[in-house]
Amino acid sequence: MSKLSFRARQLDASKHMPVLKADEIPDVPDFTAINRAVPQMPTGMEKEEESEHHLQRALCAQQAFGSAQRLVIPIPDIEDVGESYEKLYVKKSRDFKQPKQYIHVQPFGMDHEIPDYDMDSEDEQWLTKQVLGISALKFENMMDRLEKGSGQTVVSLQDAKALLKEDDDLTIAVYDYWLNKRLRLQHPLIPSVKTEKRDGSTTSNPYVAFRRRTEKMQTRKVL
Amino acid sequence: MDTKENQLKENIEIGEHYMVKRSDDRWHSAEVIETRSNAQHDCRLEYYIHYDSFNRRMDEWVDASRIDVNQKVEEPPPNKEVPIAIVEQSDGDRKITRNQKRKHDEINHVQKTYAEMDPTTAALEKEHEAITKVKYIDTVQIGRYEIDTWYFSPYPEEYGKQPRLWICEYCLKYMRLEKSYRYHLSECTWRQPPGKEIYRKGTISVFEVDGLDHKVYCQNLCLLAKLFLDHKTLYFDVEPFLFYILTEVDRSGCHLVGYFSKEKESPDGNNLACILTLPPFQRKGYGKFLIAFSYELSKIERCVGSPEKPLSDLGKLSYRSYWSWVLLEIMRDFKGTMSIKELSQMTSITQYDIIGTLQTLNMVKYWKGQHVICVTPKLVEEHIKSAQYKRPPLMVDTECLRWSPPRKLLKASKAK
Repeated sequence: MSKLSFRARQLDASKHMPVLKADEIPDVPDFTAINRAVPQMPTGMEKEEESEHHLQRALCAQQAFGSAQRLVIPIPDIEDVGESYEKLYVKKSRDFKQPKQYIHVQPFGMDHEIPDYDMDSEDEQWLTKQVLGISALKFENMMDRLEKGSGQTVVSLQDAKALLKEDDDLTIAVYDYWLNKRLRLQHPLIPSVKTEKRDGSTTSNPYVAFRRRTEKMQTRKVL
Repeated sequence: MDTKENQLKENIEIGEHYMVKRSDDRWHSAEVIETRSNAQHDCRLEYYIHYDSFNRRMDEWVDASRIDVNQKVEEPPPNKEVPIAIVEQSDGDRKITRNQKRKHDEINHVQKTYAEMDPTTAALEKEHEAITKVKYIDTVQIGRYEIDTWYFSPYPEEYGKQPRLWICEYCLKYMRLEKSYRYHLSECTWRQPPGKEIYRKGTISVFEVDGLDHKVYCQNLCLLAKLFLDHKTLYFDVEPFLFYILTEVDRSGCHLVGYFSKEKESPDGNNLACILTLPPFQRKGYGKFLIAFSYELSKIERCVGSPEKPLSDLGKLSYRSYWSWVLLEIMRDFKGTMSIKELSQMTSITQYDIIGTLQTLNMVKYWKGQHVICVTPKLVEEHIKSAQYKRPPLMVDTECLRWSPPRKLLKASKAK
C-alpha cells in the first residue's frame, strides 16, 4: 500500500516558526503521513568520497548518538620526536617572550638574511679542502646570489664579480665551483615550485602551482 | 633472496587487487597503483597501495612482504548509491526526488560522479586524479613531529620525490637534507608567523597574513597544507587570499597548529576557503575554534558566509558539529517563534547551512499546517553532555579579537 505523500514544501526562511519542545506536540507522528518537511539539502561533498566507509560510519554515529567520538576516521601515523628536536635546539634558548602589544610584522621586515641555498656534503668537502677562509653561511650566500642572478642562462664571471663584490680569487674559486656543479646537474641549485610557463600556456602538470590569476578565478578544480 | 624478490615482482601487477597487511596488522583488500625503488631503503622495491573503500589519505608505500600474492581479490563492486542523508524512518520515506536533487546540485555546484559528467570533463577529472594519485613524500618532519603525509603536494619535483622532507616550523622553509635542516634551525630567527597578530588568549595566538605581503610564507604554507588536504588546489597564487594562522605559544615561540584561508573577495559568499589542523593537533577542538573564528570575522563584517565546497570528510564532520552546537545553544531554552533568516543574522551561518543542520538534527516538523522547530529533550541532553555538542574546549573570546574588516569587504557586504 503506498503511503499518502505530499510534495515537500519549501521552508520560508523569513517566516517565523514556533520553537516547541517535543512534549508540546505529542501528536506530531499523526502528521508524518502528510509530512511536508523540507527536501534534503545537498551535502557539499564529492560523491565518491562521501560514500567512503569510515565517513558513513561516523556520520551515522553523529546522527544517532550525537557523537562520532568512538568512530574515528583513521589517519596516517604521527610520531612525537620532541626529545631529539629539543636537542637540535640547544643553541636556542627558550627565551621567546610575547610583547605586551599584539605582534605586527611588517612586510619585508622579516626579509631573508638567510640564504635559500642549502649546502650539501659535496659543498662541505670542497669548502674544507679549499681553505678559502670563509664561513659556511658566507659560502651559501655567494651561491645564493649566483643562483638568483642566473635566469635561463648562467651569469658570466664578469657579472659574478659585480654581484658578489668579493676579492677576485675568492670570486673565481666559488664561481668555478658553482658553474661546474650547475652544468653537471642541469637544473637550478635552489629548487623552486614550478609556476606557469612564460607563454602563459596551461598544462596539466601537477607540479605547476601558484599561477597568476586570470579573469575568472576557480578556486577548486574544474567541475 | 634475489630470486624470491624477482618472483614477487612478477606476480604483483599494477591495477590488480590483493590482500594487503595494514600497519594495524589486519589484512584488507587493496589495489596496487604504482611501484618504486626506495633510495632511502637500499633501493628496495615498493608498491603504492590504495585500500578499498578507505579514504585516499591511507594510501601508502609497502614492500612485497605485506602483499599476499596468493590471494588475488576481485575488484569490489562500485559503491552503491548512498542516500544523501540518513533520514529517520518515522518521518516517512522522504528521500529527495531525482529532479529536486539535480536542481540542488546545480545551485550548489555539487561534484558529479564520473558517470554523470560529460566525457571530456570526466576524462580531465580522471587525468587529474591519476597524476595526483601517488604521494611520493611519505613523511615530513616539522617541529617536534614526524608526520606521515596524506596526499600529493607539488613541492618542487627534485624535493617531491624524496620520501622525507624537513620543514622549519616557523618560516615553513622545506629542505631535503637533515643536515640543511639542522643548520637552518641554528640560523632561522623566526619565532612566529609573519603578519599581524589579531587574537591572543591564554596560549593561543592567531595571526592574519596577507598573501600579497608574505608570498613565500603563504606559498610554503599551502604546499604543507596540500599534504593533508585532498581537494585543495594550488593552481592559483596566494595573493587574493588572507591566511589566518592559529598558533600555540610557549617559551620557544609560536607553534603552528592550523590555519584557514579566505578569499579577499568571494563572489560565492564563502567566508572560508581551506581549513587545516595539523594532524598532531587534531581531535582537540582546534578545528572548531578555527570555524568559529571564521564566523566571528563574518559577524564583524555583518555578512553571512559558508565554507567553500567540496568539504572533505573531516571538514564535513567538523562543520556539522559546529553548526549543531551553535543552533542547539540558541534553541535549547528558547520560547517563542523564530525565522531561519533571524538565525542566520545572529550566527552569520547561511540559511542553507541552517536548514541543512536542522534537518540533520531532525528538528523541522510539519505540524498542523505549518513548519515548526521541535526541540527534543534527548537532543538537549546530548547537547549538554556529549563531547560532540558540548562547549568546544577552545572558545573564541571576542574581547580578545582585534580586527576590523578591510574597507573593500565592508562595501561588498553592505550590498547583500
